Amino acid sequence: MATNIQEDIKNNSIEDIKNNSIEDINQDSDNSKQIQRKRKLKPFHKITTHRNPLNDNRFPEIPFCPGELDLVSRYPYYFGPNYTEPLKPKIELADIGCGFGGLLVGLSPLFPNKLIIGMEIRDKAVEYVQERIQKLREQGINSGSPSQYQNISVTRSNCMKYLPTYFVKGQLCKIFFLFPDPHFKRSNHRRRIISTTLLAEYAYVLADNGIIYTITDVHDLHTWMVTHISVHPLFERVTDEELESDPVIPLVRNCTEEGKKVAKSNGSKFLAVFRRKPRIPYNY
Amino acid sequence: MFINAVSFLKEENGDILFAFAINKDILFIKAQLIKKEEEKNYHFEVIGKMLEIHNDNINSLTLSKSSILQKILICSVSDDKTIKLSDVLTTTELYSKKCFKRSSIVKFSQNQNEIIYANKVGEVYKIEVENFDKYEEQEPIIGHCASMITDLIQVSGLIFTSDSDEKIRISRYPHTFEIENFCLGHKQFVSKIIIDPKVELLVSGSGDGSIKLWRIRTGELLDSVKLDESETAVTIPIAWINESNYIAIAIENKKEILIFKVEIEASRKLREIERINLNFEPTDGIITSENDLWLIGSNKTLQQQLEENQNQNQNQNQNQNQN
Repeated sequence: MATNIQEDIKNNSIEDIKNNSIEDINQDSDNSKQIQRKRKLKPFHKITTHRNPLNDNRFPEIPFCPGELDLVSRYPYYFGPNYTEPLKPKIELADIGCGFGGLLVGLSPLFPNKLIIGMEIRDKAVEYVQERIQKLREQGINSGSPSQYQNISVTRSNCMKYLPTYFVKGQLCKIFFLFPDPHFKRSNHRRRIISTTLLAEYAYVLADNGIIYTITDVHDLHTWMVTHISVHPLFERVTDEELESDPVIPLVRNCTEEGKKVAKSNGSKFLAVFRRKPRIPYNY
Repeated sequence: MFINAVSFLKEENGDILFAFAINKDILFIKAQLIKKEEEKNYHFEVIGKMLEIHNDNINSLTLSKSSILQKILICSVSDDKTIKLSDVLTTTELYSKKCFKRSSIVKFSQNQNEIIYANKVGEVYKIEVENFDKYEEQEPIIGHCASMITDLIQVSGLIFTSDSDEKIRISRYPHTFEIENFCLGHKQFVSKIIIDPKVELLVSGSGDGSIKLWRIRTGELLDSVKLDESETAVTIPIAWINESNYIAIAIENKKEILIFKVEIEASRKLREIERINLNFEPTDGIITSENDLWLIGSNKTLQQQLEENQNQNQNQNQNQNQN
């Protein structure tokens, strides 16, 4: 992985790298000192923002069923020989469209007994997040906390087409849609990640009372998401009062690169959170 | 003549009504059961034709004996982006409605009161038969994002949809927003699914050359058998032989029909019993209440009849002798 990014950087013009050199973004998670790294990660603007999820490609990383998802390579700490606990943690949180991994990094210390996965369709962004997580894990090992950031991982996938192949029924307790692609054109509305037909699949992977978090700076998209999810028989809105005690909310607002961009430009963030209603047993 | 689609209607007296879609036309053939003492025979009669009913190839059609409209109905979907409801006995078109996308499959619901159709981008819609005249395509009841729906069955409060992205989805019906299970594991598009009469088991065929047996209640894979090693093999489950444990499977472009036994208690749950050579390639079929297996071939309008009862009895006797 590391050599690919270095080669990419070599292929770009030196001007680009000089003008857009970035400090290691892991400094935010460190809180205390700013760590300036010699090796720079690929500049953000080189990773495309748009991708058509309706294309036919089935990437090789996409499993054919939940049992085929490779957990050993993604969470080596928990599935390696050194982890002696009999019960392995499960993936219970999913960040759909995790971008550069900001939310994953923020969530990791909050849920030490659960595994978190980021799903992203752009392969360059996936590489970036893999690099980022690897570095954080190395930092943890070097500073004596080997389990740090071992519960987060990223995978390249197309969630609109293949989400049920990752998770069994009711596996997730939380699912995140942070600053999704608005697909402004009416003809592209069917590419939006929140739609009535896809909500059935999200309800399928969510446990009873599982939570779906949405946030966007585009008011039109916010209205779209709120209308579609509110009208869906399996979801109910979580009130602002209930959200006050949810430690995840500040992360949802501020942890991602997109969220920080919006804050810098003084944009508004529209949050909408919903709960998956409990399943009623069905006799047929 | 190339048959695009076929639908059957079993009548109480043992007669079978066939509707064949041949390009843009529909042909109705009735097979009348004639029972003389111990012998069984069928008399075939072309009872109607609907020529150029559609402007483009018909992709799917489905027959129904509707108690609401007191007629025998046929619903057809075509590449001309319409769905049409017609009366069989008078061979007249009753209604025609527009679809946004080309539809690939149409079926009646189990209670015959609704028509369910699916298009090539994975959207499934529902029409109430008695309100067909007022129907307008709006929101789909099920969506398989950007996949073609390859098979659709509605039975016993559930609806089964399979798609070209290797997924089989089992949803509640009519509350299709609640998914009961997914049956996942095929490596290529799912071609067709058949369900046992007790709605406990499902057998699916696929472009990966295998058939898989699933438990409906949990979505778990019970067994998988690879029927053909070649890369382009497509398996097509034809029918579940009534209340027995036997199923009939076809392989695309192969002139044979395979009979399998389904035994959930055994370690090998799908067991091949025999392969019967034919002189045509079967693509569809029906089991009558007499336990006869009718097979329809894609290249010819030849039907072949098999005495399944006899086969089953022979096999059971063999098994008992072995035990």
